[in-house]
Amino acid sequence: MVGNPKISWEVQENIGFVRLVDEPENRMDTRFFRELLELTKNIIPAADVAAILVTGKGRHFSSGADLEDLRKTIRGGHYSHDFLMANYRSFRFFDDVNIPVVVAIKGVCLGSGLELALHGDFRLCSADALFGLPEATFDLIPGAGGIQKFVQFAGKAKAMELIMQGKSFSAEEALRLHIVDAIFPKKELEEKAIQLAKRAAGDYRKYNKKDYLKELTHREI
Amino acid sequence: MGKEHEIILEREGDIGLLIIKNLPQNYLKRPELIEMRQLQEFVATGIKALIITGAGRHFSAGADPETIKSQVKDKKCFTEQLIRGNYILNYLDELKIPVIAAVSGVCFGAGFEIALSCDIRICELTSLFAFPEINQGIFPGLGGITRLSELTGKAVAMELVMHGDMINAAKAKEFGIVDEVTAKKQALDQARILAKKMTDNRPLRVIKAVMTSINNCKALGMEEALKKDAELFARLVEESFSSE
Repeated sequence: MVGNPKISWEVQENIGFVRLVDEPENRMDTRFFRELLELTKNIIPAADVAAILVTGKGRHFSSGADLEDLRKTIRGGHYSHDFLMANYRSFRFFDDVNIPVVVAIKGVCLGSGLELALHGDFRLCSADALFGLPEATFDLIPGAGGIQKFVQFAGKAKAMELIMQGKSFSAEEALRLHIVDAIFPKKELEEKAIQLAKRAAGDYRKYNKKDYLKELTHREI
Repeated sequence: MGKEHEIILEREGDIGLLIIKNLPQNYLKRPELIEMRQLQEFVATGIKALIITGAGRHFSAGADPETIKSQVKDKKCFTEQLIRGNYILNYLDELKIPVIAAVSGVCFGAGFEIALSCDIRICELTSLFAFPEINQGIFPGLGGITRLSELTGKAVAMELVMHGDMINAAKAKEFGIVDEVTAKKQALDQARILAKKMTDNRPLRVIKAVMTSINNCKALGMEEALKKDAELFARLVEESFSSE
């Protein structure tokens, strides 16, 4: 394949690192989705890891889908539905996989970038992170589980308001909306995410989620 | 016997207003809030959001007990009216545009059931909610119990329905029954602001797609809902090409 990879996969001890590596914005184009499908279908299931950490290289998590590129792909007719479902299944993998998935977010986390993040078990972000589902402003909708996840975390009213308006929102607002679980200074974010992944690795139950977060943020105070 | 309730339909730009009027408490004379055809025709004028509110100081105190007493004498007729009333609230619940209840004052019984069939509820600090039906030996008959349980869980819903207790705005917010509490006389304006935020510059097809997806969260399983989303998304992409 020509060009640089869009995603990197690395195992350190028992933690698997998924990094979006198409700097500066880590945009998601057709190639990104192809790589993510391969990663979630074949590579991660075969890897010996006890937790996954998803993050973006550089200043941002992801500015979301590369619309022009996706439009070209989707325009291909009946192929579009399979393509979209495959993308969604790749995201859904992080929700379904039976090991904890920690997402560390800095900079922008928009559109499909946020949809991917919403499929993790934990979302930690830096104070300068910016969130949003701007699809409606392009006359589209978030089509990869973002609507369902947003309703689940923030409730129907806020989901309707923010998805239809397509407006971006701050880290504090994301915390209020239960879209993220905790905010850390940018310098500490990755370290905290690794700490959480290690703590939850091998001993994760959904009902323990709050305990782990309490531990993590208490150390902060 | 109480006087007939009146429904006023108004358009403010792209936003539709449905006003329940039977001053002062806006008692509902029939289980049927409005005639289905009239409501459908109003929606078909192309409104992008619908706000439901009460005229004057209150949202609605529900059906007045005297009226019900005389109506149940003709059991068949009353049952048919109840079914039609249910159709109306199901229609509002499933409508593919945002439906917002702007609640001032009392919101009781069938009035509360109407508010619960909306997507979003905005009320005022002084608003009150209750299902007083139990005091007459009846229960909310327009889907209110089901819709309330979805918001509050079974335990709270059972208490409210079986005790007929009244709760204030703060409690309603705590239980997840209302989404926002405003100062006195501000609910309607807040609903207008929210409706404008959601619909300004948005084509109706995008609004409908978002609402379809949001309604599917409840109606379908995750996998099915996502299949529908992929279809909606692909269609919107096609449409955005043809409009270019």
